[in-house]
Amino acid sequence: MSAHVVRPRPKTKKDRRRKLVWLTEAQAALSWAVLLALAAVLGAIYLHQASGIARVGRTVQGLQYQLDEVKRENTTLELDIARAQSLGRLNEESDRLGFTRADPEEIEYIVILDYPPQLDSPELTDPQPEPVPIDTALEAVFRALTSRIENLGRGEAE
Amino acid sequence: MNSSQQRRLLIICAGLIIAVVAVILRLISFQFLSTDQIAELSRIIQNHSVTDLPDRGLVVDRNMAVLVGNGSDYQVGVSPAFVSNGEEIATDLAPILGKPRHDILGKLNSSDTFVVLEGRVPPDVAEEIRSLGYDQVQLDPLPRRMYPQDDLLCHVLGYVDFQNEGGSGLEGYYQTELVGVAASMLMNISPLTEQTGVIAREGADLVLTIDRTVQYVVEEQLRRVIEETGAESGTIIVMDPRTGAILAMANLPCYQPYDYFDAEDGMLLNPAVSKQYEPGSVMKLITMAAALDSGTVTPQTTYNDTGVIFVGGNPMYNWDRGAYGVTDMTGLLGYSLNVGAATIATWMGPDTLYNYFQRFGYSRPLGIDLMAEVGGQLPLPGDSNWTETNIGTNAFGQGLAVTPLQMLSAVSALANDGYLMQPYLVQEIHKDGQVFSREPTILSRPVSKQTAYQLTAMAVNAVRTEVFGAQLEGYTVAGKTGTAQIPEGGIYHPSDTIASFIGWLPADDPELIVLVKIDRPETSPWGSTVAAPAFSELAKELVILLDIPPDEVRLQRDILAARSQGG
Repeated sequence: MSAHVVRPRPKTKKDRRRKLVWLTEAQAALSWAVLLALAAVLGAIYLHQASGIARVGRTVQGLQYQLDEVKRENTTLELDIARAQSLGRLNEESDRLGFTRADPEEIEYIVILDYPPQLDSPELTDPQPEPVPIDTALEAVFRALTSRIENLGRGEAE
Repeated sequence: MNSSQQRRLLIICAGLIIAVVAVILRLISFQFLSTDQIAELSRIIQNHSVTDLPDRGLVVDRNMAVLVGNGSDYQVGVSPAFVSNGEEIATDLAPILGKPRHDILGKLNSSDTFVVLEGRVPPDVAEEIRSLGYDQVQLDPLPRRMYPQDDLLCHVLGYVDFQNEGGSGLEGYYQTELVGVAASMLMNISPLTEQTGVIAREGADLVLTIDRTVQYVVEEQLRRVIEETGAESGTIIVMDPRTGAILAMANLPCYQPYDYFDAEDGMLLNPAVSKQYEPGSVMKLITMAAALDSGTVTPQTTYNDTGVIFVGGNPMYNWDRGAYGVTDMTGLLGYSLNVGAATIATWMGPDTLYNYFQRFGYSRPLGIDLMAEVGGQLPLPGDSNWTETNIGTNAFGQGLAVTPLQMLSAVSALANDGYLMQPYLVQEIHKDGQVFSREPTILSRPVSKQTAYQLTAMAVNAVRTEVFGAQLEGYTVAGKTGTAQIPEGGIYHPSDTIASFIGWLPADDPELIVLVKIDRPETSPWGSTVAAPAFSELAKELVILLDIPPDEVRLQRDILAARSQGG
């Protein structure tokens, strides 16, 4: 039995050129596709960023508006308080409650020397003596007992 | 590909080429022909102008009670394109805005993108509109000054116009401090640019020397006196003579600062600093101070009052046309004798007299921190409107013009050991978290301490012996009345007068000085019967409010203090 080997037909120049053209066209198409995809991705990122910023901007605007409103309300409340404390209203209210104005003759003045007291030079007090450090357990027990005895003497027994 | 397909491909290619060429041409036109236009458009789109307007500073009294604050009026507007129920909106808004329904409807049906239905409405009207619940109706806030104390202190505070400009009083004088600094910038809204904000520098707050309670009592008293005497107007100023701090400054009639545009002509001016008058006999205090200080007279010096004196060829008489015979200086002041005042003025001579008048601050503004202060009129020798007669008339307060504040300040020097202090209204300015305090300023020392004491003693005697209406139980009051004629058209009005009184207490250690000036009272022309009792009534309340104990208590306190220190 003889072996029959089929060998591929050697490529002609024409075949090789056709393949080269196809490869070149494919590479070009791929490059274009990559470029387009890149542009699309960049565009999408840009749009996402832009819309994100616009969204944040709108949120900031809304908060700014709220802040302005709150500030305005605060101002209005402060003015309402000031109006409520106006002397015209207080005078009406005091009249309604039956208060009358004081007359100098109705006021009794009392002379108190050194009044108000001078608070800038407080009286000096003896500082608390710093506790002596305890060295041994025996000393600690002894001190505790002494302290209790002293307390008993002062009527501060536990 | 058959021929039909080839033809269609050709047409598509041709169409695409034409479109590309058109786009290229358009791009070329953008790039080279419409450069400026496009650049401007780009700038507008990318750059957004952001402005932060500062709040105007507050004005508070010495106890931090708000006298002037900020609020808002509102502009009422609408975008007609969003309005579908115009008839209904017009019907509801017409009575609130006080406008004909058809006017509003016309605006709602207009083709404009935005129409203003009312330029400015107060907050209560805005609230009423808001309660209607129309989302299409836009209410835009417009800053406006608010006055929680109503018209209290109106002339001092002044007003602010719709352009946020202070037009008078403190608002005008402190415009720069109060208004703050707006922050504005062009913000690039490109996503690639970092976004930043702007913050305005808020206006400074003013803390006044005024005590609103004292002010209220003063205005109340002034209102009562004007009503009781049928007077045309009046002014009361209360000052601390030791510092020049104004504790109250009231003028009536007043205006509503919120509705300043409704005020009558001239009403916006503060009469205490912007209007002048002939002071009358109060001026004798200054003439006498000049005579004492220059050594021309002593309190014991006498002259013979014959009831008339000729100065510059013109006769001058006493207020009652009486002759008082031999009179000393204390008597001259007590009886308020024109002949005596003219006599000592002629003894001094014009140089000395006018030198002292100028040292007391006449003829120039005192520099108080209020807008539109005037300097008064003091004709001097050499001036075209000065004659020798002026020496006599000026001595008893005629032929010259002063502001009420000038008159009060001049006399306050006598109550402050001879020191003339600059009057002021703002004690502190709070700005950017810092506090700037005002220190009292001495303008001059027109007379010595001794002269001031002598004059005070004479003024105490004048009140004790002649001006009973000004006395106050338990307190020693020094003071002087004035009854000034009013010049009109070159002559004095036959009957109208300005009745005034300046008094200070406690006389030995003055804590307050008060000017009461009542214009054209009808019940009586005299300062002693119109202004002096008003002073007394007012002082009765002021000593309580300002915690000034009676003389006896002060004396007791001083004795105890002396004993305590001694032993």
